[in-house]
Amino acid sequence: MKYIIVYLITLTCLIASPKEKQLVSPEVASELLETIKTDAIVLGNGKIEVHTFIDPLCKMSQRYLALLYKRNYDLFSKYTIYLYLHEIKSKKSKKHILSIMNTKSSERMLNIIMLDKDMSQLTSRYSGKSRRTFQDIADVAKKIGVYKRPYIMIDGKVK
Amino acid sequence: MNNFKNNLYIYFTLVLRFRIAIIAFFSVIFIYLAFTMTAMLTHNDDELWLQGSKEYNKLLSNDHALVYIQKLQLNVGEEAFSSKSIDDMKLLHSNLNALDEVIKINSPLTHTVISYSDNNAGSSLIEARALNESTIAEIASTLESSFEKFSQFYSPDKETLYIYVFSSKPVDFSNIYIPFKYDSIEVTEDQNIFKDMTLFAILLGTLFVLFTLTFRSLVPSFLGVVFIVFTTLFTISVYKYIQPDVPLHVSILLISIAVSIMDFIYIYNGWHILQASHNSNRSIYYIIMKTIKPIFWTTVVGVIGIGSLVFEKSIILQSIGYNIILSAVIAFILSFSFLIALLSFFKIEKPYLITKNSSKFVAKLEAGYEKYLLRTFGIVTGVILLACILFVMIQPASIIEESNDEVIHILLPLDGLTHASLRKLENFHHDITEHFEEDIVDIVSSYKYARGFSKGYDPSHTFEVSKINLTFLTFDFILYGIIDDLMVNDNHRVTIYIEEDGTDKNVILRWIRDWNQNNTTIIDDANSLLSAAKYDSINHMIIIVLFILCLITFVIYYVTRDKMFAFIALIVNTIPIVWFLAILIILEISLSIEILVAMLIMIALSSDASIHFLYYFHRNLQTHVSDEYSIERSFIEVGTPVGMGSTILLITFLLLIFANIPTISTIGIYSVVLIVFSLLADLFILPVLFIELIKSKN
Repeated sequence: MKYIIVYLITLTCLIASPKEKQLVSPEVASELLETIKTDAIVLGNGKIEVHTFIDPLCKMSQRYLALLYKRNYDLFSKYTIYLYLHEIKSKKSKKHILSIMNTKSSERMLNIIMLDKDMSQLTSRYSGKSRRTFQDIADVAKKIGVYKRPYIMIDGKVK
Repeated sequence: MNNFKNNLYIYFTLVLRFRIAIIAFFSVIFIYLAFTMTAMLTHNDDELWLQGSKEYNKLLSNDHALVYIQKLQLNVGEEAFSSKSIDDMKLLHSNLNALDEVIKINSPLTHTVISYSDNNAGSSLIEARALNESTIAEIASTLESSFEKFSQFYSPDKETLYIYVFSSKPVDFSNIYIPFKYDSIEVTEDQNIFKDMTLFAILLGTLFVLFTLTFRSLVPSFLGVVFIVFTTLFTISVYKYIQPDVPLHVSILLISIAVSIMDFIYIYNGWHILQASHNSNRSIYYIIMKTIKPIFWTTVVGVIGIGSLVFEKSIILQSIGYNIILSAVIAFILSFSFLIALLSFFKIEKPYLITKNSSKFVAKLEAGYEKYLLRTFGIVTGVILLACILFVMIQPASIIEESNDEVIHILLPLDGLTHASLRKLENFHHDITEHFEEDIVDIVSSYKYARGFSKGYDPSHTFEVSKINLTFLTFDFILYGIIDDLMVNDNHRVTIYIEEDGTDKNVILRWIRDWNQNNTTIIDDANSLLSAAKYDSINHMIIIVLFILCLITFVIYYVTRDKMFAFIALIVNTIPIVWFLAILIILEISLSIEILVAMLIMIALSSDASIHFLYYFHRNLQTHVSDEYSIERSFIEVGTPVGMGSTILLITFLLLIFANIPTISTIGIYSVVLIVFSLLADLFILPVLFIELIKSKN
C-alpha cells in the first residue's frame, strides 16, 4: 500500500510538472537546426526562416500544412518554411515519413499523404540516405526537446 | 414717407406699363431653364452630411476608403443551432460573398476565436479559427458548448441572430435571398424622379385645393401654382450654377419653397381683401405699399439668419443656406414684379373672406383676455425654460443625438506591429472598457489576438505586452489570415461592438475622438462618420438658432423703434422652442441635427409671422382706437395668410414624414410639432401680449 501511494504521488508530480518547451538555448537550437536544414522540405523563399517539426499523420500538422498552402501568397514571399518530418510514436508514421523522404519530389508526396490522405503510393523499400535523414532529424529533435507536432521555431525559439 | 410712397407709385406704374414684357421676360427664362435643366434631386442625405465634415476629410486626406457596416437581424426561431439554421446561415454567407461590394462578414461563422487543440498524444496547435470551415455538426456543437464566445451574435433568448456586413457601398438586401425572416434595412435611394414628381404633384395639388377653398376662386390657385413652379425652377437653376457638383436634396428644396410661398400668400391675401373696397389696380398699389416692408425684412432675416449656414464647412448645411437665400431672394423679386404683373390681369368680384367671422370671434375673445391667465402662462413658460437650461447643464450628454447602430470601425495610425503600438492599443482597451464597461460587447484589434495567442502559448505566465514575441505574432496573423482585418499598412484597425441598449454610440464616439490627444484616430465606417458629422454641427446650429432670434428682435426694433415690440418678438419666437424642448426632455428625445434643422425652419416661419403681425399691429395702433378691432384687422390681414401658410407647410412636412427617408421624415415630424406651437404662439400669445403692451402704455 505504501508503495502504491508513493507511486501515485510520483506519477501525479510528473504529470503536473510543466513540460519544458525547449531543452536548449535558442543559439544552440539554431546551430542544431542548421545541421538538418538540407533534410527539410522547403516552402517559400522569404527572409525569415520558420522551422517546423511535423508528423504526416498528425491532424494538427495536416491542418498546419493546409494553412501554409492556403496563405502561400502572403507567407512564401516573407518566410522560408523548413518542414522536418519527425514521427509521433503513437502515430506509427515512420513508413510514411520514409516514403516521403525516399521520393525525388518529397513536397508532392508530402501533399499526397498529408492533404489528399492518399496512402496508395507508400513504399516499403527505403534508401539508406532516407533512413539516415530520418534518424538525424530525430536526434536533433530529441536534443531540442520537440514534444509536440507541429513544433514551430523561429530564431531558435519555439512558439 | 411721402417720398417712399411716390417711389413705390412710380414703380407700380412702371410694372403695370411693362407687365406683358415682365411676364414674357420671366417666361422666356423659365422655358429656357426648363429645357436645359439637368439637375437631379437626391433622396440620400448621408453623403451630403459627410462632405466637408471634419472626420470624413481626415479619412480622405489619409487615402482610406469608407466602409459601410450594416447589421442584419435574423429571426432564427427557437432552434438557433439546428442543422437547418446553420445550413441557412452558410447559404446566406455564400449569397452575400457573391456581391462585389461585400468586404467581409462578421457572424458566428466568421468570428475568429483563438483555440487550443490537443489530442494528448503529441499533437497540439494554438490557432485562430473561424467556424465557417467546420462541418454543420461541429459548428452546432461549438455554438452550444462555447456560446459565450459567440453571444454577441445572438439575442439573449437566442432567437435573433445578428450578422454584420462590411461593404464598400450600402448593400440592398432586398436583392439577395435571405433564408430567414428579418427586419429589412432600407437603403436610401439616391434619385427617384417618380417620387420627386409625386411629392411636387401632391404639394401643388394641396395648394390648389386650399386656395380654391379659402378664397372661393381659381385665380389664387392658378397664380400660386405658377409662382411655386417659377420659384422652384429658378432656385434650382441658380443653385446648380453656384454648386454644380453638389446634388440638391429634395427636402431642402421643399423647405426653401415652403418658406418662399409665404410671400405669395401675403400679397395675394392682401390684394384679395382690398378688392372689397378698391378696384384691382388700386388694390395692387396698396398691397405693394403694405407688404413690401415686412416681406423685405422677412427676406433679410431669412437671408442673413439661415443664409449664414453657407459659411459652415458641412455641405448639407451650406446647401440649406444657399437654397434659403436663393428662394427668399427669388421669391421677393418675383413677388414684386412677375406676380404683380400677373395680378393686374385679374380682378375678384365680391371677394370671399373665409376667416372674416372667425377673426372677429377670436379677436373678441382675445381682447377680453384674463390677465392672470397670461401671467400664469408666462410664469410656467419661464419655469420650463429654467428647467430646460438646468437639465442641459446637469446632463449635457442627454442632449446628444442618439445613434442606433452598434459598431464603430476606426484606424489608429501607429508604427506597425511593435511593442509600442500594442501598448497603446492595450491602453485603449483598458481606458474604453473602464469608461463604458457594460456597453462594450467586444473590441477586435491586434491587441486582442496578441493577448489571445500569448495566453494560449503560455497559460501559466502573466500576460505582458513587452514579452510578446512579435516575430511569431506576425507569422500567426498571416498564417491565420487575420492580418488584413487588423492592420492596414502600419495602422491598426479597431472594431468596437456596442451593447444594443447601452450608452449612445455618440457618447462613445466623442470619447474615442478625445482619447487620442494627437487627434490622429481615423473613423472609417459611414455610420460613425455620419454621427460625428452631425454631432459636430450641433453647436453651430444652436448658435445659428440664437443668432436668428437676436436678428428678429433687432429687425422688429429697427422697424418699430420700440423696445417692447422687439421684446414681444423675442418672447413669441422663444415660446415654441421652450415648449418644444420641454416635450423633448419629458419624452427623453435627445437633441439631434434634424431637430435643429426643424427649429431653423420654424424660426424662419415664425419670424415671418411675427414681423408681419407686429408690423400690422403697429400700423393699426395708429389708426384704430379699439383693441378688438385692431386685432380683428390684423387677424384678417395676417392671421389668414399665417394660418394658410402653416397649413400648407404642415401638409408638406407631413408628406416628408411619409417620404420614407429617415432623416427627412424626422425633420418632418419635428417641423410639424414646431409649426403647430409657432402658429398657436402667433395667433394666441402675440395679440394678447400686444394688447397688454398698449394697456401698459395707456
